[in-house]
Amino acid sequence: MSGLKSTAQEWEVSEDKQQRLAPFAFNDQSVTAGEELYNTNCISCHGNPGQGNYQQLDPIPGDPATEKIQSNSDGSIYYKIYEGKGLMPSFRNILAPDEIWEVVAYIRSFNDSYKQLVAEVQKLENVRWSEIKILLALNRENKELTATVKGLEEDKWTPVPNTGLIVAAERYFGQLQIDEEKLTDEKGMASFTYPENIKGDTLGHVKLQSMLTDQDLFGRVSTDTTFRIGMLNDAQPLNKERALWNSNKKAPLWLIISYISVVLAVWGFIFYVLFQLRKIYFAGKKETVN
Amino acid sequence: MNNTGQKYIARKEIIDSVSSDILRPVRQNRSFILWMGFLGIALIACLYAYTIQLREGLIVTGLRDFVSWGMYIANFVFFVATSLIGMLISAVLGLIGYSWIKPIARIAEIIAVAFAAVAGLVIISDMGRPDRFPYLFMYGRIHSPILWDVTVVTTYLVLSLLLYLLPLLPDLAIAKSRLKNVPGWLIKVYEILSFKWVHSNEQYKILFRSIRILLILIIPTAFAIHTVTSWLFAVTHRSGWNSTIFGPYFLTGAFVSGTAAVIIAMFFYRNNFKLKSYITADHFDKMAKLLVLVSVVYFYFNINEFLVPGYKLEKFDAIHLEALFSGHHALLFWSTQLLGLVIPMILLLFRKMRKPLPAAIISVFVIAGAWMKRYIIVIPTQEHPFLPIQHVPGEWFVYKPTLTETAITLASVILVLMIITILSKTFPVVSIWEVAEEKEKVVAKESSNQGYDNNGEKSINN
Amino acid sequence: MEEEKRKSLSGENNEKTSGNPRRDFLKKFGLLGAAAATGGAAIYTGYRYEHSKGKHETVKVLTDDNRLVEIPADQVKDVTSDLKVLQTRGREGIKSRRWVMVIDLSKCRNARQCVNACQSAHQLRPYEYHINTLIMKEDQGTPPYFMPKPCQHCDNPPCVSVCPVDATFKRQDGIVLIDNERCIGCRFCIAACPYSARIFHWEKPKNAEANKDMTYDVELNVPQKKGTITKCLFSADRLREGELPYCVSACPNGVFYFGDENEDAVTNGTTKETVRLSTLLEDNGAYRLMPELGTDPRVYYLPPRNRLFDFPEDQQPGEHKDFIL
Repeated sequence: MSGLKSTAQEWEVSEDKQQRLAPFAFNDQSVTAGEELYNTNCISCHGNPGQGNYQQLDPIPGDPATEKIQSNSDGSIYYKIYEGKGLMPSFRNILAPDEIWEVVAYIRSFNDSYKQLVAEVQKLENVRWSEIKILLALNRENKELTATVKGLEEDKWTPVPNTGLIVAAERYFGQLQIDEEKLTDEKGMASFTYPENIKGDTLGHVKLQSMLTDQDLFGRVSTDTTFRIGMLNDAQPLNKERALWNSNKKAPLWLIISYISVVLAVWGFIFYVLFQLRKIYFAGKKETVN
Repeated sequence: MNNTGQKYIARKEIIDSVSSDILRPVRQNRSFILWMGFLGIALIACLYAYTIQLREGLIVTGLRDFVSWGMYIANFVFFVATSLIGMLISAVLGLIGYSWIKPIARIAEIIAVAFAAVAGLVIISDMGRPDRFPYLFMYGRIHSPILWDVTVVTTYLVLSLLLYLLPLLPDLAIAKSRLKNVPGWLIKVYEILSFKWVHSNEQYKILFRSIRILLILIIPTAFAIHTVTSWLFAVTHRSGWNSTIFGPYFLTGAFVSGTAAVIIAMFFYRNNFKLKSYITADHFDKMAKLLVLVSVVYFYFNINEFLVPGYKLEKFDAIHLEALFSGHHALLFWSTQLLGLVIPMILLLFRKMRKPLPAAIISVFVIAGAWMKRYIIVIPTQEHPFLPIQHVPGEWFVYKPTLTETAITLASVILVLMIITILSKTFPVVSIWEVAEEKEKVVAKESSNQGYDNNGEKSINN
Repeated sequence: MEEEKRKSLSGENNEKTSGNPRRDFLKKFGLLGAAAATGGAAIYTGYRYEHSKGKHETVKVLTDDNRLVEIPADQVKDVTSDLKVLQTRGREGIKSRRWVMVIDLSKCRNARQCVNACQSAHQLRPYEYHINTLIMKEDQGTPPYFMPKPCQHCDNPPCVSVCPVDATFKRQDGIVLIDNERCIGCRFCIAACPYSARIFHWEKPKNAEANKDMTYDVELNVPQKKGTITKCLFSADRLREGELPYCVSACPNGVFYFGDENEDAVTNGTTKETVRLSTLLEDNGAYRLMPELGTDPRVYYLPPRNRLFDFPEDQQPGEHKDFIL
């Protein structure tokens, strides 16, 4: 256990990720937005920046206003929020990239000596393609889903090569990723192997979302496609069977039969006796008249 | 059974002498009114406690989430238990053919009716929403032992009432013509309840048949009522309740408390109602022997109930048994077991102890022990659930009945006493016609021993 | 060319870029019927609002046969305000779902955020718990750990078996619910539950005055009522809206996973990461509480191994029996 914890202290971030910069300049607006996000997501462990009221955990979460955290590069902080490690949860599914940068903006607002370097903004319009689309196709024999990413380049659809892509199945509370993240080849294609035993709806349909991972570059590009690749959801309602815990309508037959027959039998005799009382009464009446 | 043509009623002289003795206490004298007045005032005081509970909720009791059944439920179990004696005396001993029970059978029935009737009210006092009591009949789930309990308690009460009323018919007919100094409305009640009883052979035949049906019917019903009550506990997973012998354990325990209750009542009637020649020392001797017998059987079940889990000492059984044997219930546990069961059982083995006064005193210990035993069965088990009790106020761990709760419990005891008082001061507590019949039999036997032919007027044991 | 070929291979490729989501939805799920004929409201059992990027606002609607579909917001009529509707849908539950919770004990550090979120949602007093975090120590020599303990929502629920008036019941989606409009307060269910999951309103519940005229929602069990039972409901009201339970989303440490067994997927309340249920249980050696009782709980626990922090010194419990009495 202690071994594990000591490795948690050293948190290596690769060179290129350290160098990453925010795509926008931090301002009051981004700091305010970041503060709100921080208070919902971070404050329960890290406490209020500058006040040192973080939780006493091992490893200690640390106060974001202190040197320990401020000495990280913007890219390092971004990456650590994005990936998470150990007790620090990953926020990749919770915060959008811009939102993570807003949290970074808020954290940096506690550092007076901080000077921001803003990334050279690469928006979609700076990219070759004015519009991007993803097409997902099914290859049943190989249990493969093939995605083709194409971009509109001056009235022509051309492949988008070498870009990250994920495919996820829609579940009730989130997206269940299928296979790993893949890079498109020079034809703009990437193949994903889907598990045979993935659960579908009552007809076996699975709604799949294919999405480009480089949101900084492309924004949010995704396509929903539904294929009949899942196992049928033929699960019965959990309260279907007759059982002792079920409602009266679903009571076990043996119980209904024994309860009703015993009650009827006993009360049948009781009413018989009450009827006998009546007979006693009339017998007495007859005698008195005589 | 009797042959047709025979008369079922004893000679008039015998009935006259018997009824004058037995009907003597049947009147609304001053002591009755004083006693009822006292009970009435006490009841009103206790019912005031219940209005507090209705207003504030069950927070006024010592109950909390971990010990959520307390004194009310223990009292309910005790009441149900005690009421079973009606079945044991009238049905089991009666059907076997013991005729010595005849003078005390009605006393047992009075106790059965009183305790069974109030048991239902006790359960209502434990409900969080007593206003929803009708839901039990509107939405009753037949899977629930509570519904079974409601069914069998009602059935048992009706059977006990009938078993009280039917043998009373001839007595009512006898009493209405002989009772003096009673208000007119009471005679009217006698008139109505006697169902035009004229001691005709036809009526006796119907009566004997009906009583026989009831006697047979009440045995399984009584078994059911207390077995089902034990299942309220035994169907749970909790250590101390999760036991397969709970049914017979409760049933035999019921006979112990019921027999003790009858002995106490007998002692009271014998002295206060001046019925020494009807409720004899011999009756006490026999009832005390019966008490020994049922105590031995109950003791045997106790050994089973504690030795078997104690031998294995599974985790939670061990915790439970430790709390009883040496933990904070130890004093209560050992005094209940020793003073309320083991020592009385041993003492009653001696003939001297089976005389009326010692037997009655011992019975008081037995019945107090029986009440405490229900408390020990109901409460300690809940104090150690499978998962630890944490993050709740400290006073929630240990159950201590509050004054309000005790007063409400007391109200139920007062109600029982009131019912018993009213029944025994309104109707004869000893069956006149059956006792007269027994007397006549003795006389007939004597005369037949002397060589006389006694074919004519006599009664025959049915 | 290639693209077309792939498309024909797939056969059922119905890409959802169609301009009329409503018609799409109706065609797909055959819900047209009366709703479309009157141009009126789709009867729905649950919904969640979602702001779409497009021109019209749409809502996600849980259809009667339990699919989450999107329809324009103006097509929706709210029918949830009256007691009868709330009671009926509350007793029926959500079709073809089997809710399941997974609790990762290695991550719980007793932050008690789950407890707070739950108590505020269900309007409970500080000592009234639908979920409680317990300090556990199974035995002498075994390590202590923290254990969040909600109702286990057993598939063989002993509490429901003993209820005399059908006030507590098991729904088709596995949730064991309490109807405090029905409960008579006999507390047999408290006696029957081996997990101590049920509590009773001994006194007037919190906010009793303020909630006097509120319509009772059986799926939230608010307003709470004096003299009745209350317990964890798996946040049935939130599930209907497609949201994770209150406790699950409140946890700062990723302890809780929640999902649908029929989808073989659970979503972590903290990271919102969705994983396969079967894989999660298998990889971590999951277990259920007291399986020997045969109660068949719908809550799984992942053992407290490789814990990422030490057990706080001041919270070291003694042996089990020491701190229960």
